[in-house]
Amino acid sequence: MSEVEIVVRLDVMLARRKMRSRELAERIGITEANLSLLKSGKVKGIRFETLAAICAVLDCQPGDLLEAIPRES
Amino acid sequence: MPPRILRLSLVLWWVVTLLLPGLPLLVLLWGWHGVREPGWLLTAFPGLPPETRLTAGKSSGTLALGLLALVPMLAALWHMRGLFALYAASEVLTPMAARRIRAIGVALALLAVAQTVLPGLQLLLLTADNPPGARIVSIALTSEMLWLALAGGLLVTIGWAMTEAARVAEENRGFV
Repeated sequence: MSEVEIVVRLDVMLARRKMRSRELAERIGITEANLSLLKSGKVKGIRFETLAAICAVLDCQPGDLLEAIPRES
Repeated sequence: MPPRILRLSLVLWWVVTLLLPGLPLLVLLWGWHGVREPGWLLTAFPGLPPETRLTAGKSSGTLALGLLALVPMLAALWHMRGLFALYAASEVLTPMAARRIRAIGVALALLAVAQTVLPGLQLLLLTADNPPGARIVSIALTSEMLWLALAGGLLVTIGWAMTEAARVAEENRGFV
């Protein structure tokens, strides 16, 4: 297993942009349930298409949404 | 999911659901008549030596052996019903659907074996008490049985491939 894990900071960006999850989900074309899974990090991965759509709507970079942190042993 | 898959699966589910009890019922009704009238054996086995005694016991035994072919037939229908139910519920690329396809393949292959071996056993039963020289053992390989065995093997292979496809689909479902 990798020593680093990817943490999703989408909730932080949503708070900064004062946007609700439902609105973001509607604008990028995924279900609110899937967006919730993404926020909690309970997904296997994110498609570039989805990542690009989120960055466009939230006016941010992928690095604002994803952070690599050392995995707790 | 394309509507045609859902529609056809639903229709076929009903067909096999009716066949599952209907087929054994038809066979039992036909068998009930056959047990009481051993003469049917002359029609079913036209090559029987004239010395062959036709008895109710032999008729019952021959029918019982024939009924063994019903087992893989019903197993195939059972798994088809399960598969069509999954498809009608849009569960196409799933491990369970793959298992059903494999099971149908195994049942068809066993049916091919049964239909190859059982007639020979039936002839042996009918002629076992005949005088030496008038007893028969035979195994017939027909193109229908070969195609059935090939179809069974094909479905088993497709089932294995579908297991891989289901794994990939599950992996993809984890991506948003």
